[in-house]
Amino acid sequence: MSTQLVALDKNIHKNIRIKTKNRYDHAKDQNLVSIQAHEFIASGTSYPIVFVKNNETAEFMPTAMLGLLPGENLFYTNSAWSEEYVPSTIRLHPFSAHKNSNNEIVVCIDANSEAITQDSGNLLFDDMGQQTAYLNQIVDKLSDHIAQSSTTKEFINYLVEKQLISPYSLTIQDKNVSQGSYSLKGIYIVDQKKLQALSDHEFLELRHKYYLPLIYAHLLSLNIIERMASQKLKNQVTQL
Amino acid sequence: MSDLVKKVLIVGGGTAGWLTAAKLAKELNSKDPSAVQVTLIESPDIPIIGVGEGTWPTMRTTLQKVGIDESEFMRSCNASFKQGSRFVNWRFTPKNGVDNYYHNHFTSLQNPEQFNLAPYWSLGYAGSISYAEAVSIQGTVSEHGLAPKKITTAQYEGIQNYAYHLDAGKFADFLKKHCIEKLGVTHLFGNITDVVKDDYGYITSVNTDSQGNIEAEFYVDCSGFSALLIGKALGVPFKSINDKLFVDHAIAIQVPYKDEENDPVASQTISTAQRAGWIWDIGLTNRRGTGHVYSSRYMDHDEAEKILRNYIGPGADQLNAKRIKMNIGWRERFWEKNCVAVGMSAAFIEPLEASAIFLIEAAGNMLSDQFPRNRAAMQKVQDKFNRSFLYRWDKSVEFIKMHYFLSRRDDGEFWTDNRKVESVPTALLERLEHWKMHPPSRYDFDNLFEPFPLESYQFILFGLDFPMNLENNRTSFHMADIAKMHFQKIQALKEGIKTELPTHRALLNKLKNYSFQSI
Repeated sequence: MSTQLVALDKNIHKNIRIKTKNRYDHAKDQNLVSIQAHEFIASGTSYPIVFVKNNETAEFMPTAMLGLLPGENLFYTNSAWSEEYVPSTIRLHPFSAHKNSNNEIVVCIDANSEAITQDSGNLLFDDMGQQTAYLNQIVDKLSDHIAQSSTTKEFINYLVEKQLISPYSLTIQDKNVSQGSYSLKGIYIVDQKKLQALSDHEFLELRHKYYLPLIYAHLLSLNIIERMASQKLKNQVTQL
Repeated sequence: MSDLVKKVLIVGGGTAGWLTAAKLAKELNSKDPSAVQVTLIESPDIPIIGVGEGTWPTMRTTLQKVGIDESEFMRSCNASFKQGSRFVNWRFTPKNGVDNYYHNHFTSLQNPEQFNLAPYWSLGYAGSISYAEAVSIQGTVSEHGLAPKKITTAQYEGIQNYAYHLDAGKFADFLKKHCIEKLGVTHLFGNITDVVKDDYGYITSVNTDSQGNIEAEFYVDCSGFSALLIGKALGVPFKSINDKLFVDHAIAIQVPYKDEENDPVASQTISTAQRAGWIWDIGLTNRRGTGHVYSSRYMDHDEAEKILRNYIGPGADQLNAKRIKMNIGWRERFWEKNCVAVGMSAAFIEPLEASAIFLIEAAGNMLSDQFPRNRAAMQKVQDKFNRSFLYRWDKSVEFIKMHYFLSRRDDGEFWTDNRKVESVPTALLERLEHWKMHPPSRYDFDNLFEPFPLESYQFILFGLDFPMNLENNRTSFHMADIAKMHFQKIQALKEGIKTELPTHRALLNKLKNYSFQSI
């Protein structure tokens, strides 16, 4: 079902609840999820972190790969998420935060989400129309998340300015596709050759800006792609 | 005594002047004070011609090589994407108000120099569709008002091959800014009063009304039809070719959109044939550029203007028209001693295939590649350059003449006279004679600097229903299975592309706020 973003309103949404069971069902077919800079360390040991162009603006966005093909999430089976760290936007669904034209942060909810129920689950507003503890927690997490967006943007702008990003070409073997393999498209990574070619002064800048952990968390995470591909192959073999 | 070239003076600040300045300054590394310096002088009083708004796909490489950001260029010059040309009513005179068309696309899916689909199309293996529809999906893309790329495509790359439509005035200003700020070009305003030559006939300096005397060792004449250096100072004669190409005037009118945000932008140059010429229609982001190119031997100026205003439709009477006299032909030599002419000072044929700006780029490429550092070198490069560009202009005339010669329009003497063999270059007659029974091949295009390649000829040839008959030779085209496979693949791609590409207008609107990445 498509997304329908609306601003959270204590009158319109007085009685809705957010279900507590199978909280990540909405992401079962999601193969890419945007992450912020402060999520790199937690995500990097579970998911490949790559850069993908935003379809509307062409800006690079740091992205955790949940699958190798569109519509595929290899980390959510039988309503259970297999990794310890769940990326922030998935955990916070159906909530998100956006800046309006006055630069104020508005909490939004996806009105079409299956996570919204009328019977059981967490309420958002109490009898007096005040935010519940549950919603307060969500709002705090959303504020953190949005505060990070400028840091993340600066990090991306720096990488682009220093021309450290290159397209990533990788072919994955897969018996289930027509040619026995396919290549990942639209994926970009930090180019290690260009990283090495930075002057001492520029490299020190990376340290001062706290970009080194982000870059290395990203580079190390790329190994996980192979792990995902061989896991898929193994699953295909056992299904024979 | 050293006659080492230390300074180049370019005369003229239109497209020719600034493109050449950019190319030279970049190649010669003029930012470095010890390198050859490039100075451009332009008149503060004489306006640029300001109507050349169509380019070729080569412009992408040209801009990229001089360090220009594609998105910035497009925003500054109200530029849009050009995916070839649509020729309306060239095949024959329209009857009962029904128009006829053919197209010259920029992208063919199969390179004819490796495996030519044309003979297989001619023998019927693609069904009854036109040649352009059989070998390219670009017609579908343009018809549906789609762009040749997405915002996520890297700059200068395309999902379909493309060139630009651009605002001529803004383009000159944009290039000027880039040349001065990033490439180390010196800019002067002034009018040249006279040219000083030495005993050997080489230009040593020019006198101006406001900048005194300017010395340089090499000169580039980009002064347009005035040809101040190559024509007036050095006396190189001009050879008219109006016996072959009859058009000699153009009337240009700029047309605003009703809705600048939402009106669709045409993704091809539309060229509509008329009784004694044709009308160009180019879509930019904020307006259209239209013009009626005609021959005053067959039509008077007032009627030509009326026809253009009629084409534009209601509201045309509010718009200003500009009339331009075109000198169709070229200098007998483009490079004379220490001066080379680039742009209209060198040659002009007519804008039917947007070749003028392309030939400016080509001249800049050869000049900067072969740039002579002293007089001995100049003498060697001069002949090479003249030979090469004479060939290019010759072939350009041939290609354009073909559009008129193969047309079957019968609504006036302009068209019937265009088919008289005395008005046709012999080389074209010979090629066409051969192609009656044998498809064009790469052996017909064996010059590295052929301006119009094999496939361009094929689009025009078969678009104009040229009667190539290969029946007697059918057995030698025995790879029909492979050809059919290509044809099917091309048709299959047409469906998918409709959902993959954004509309032209949508992408141009996005470009106002966002940019293509460089990768």
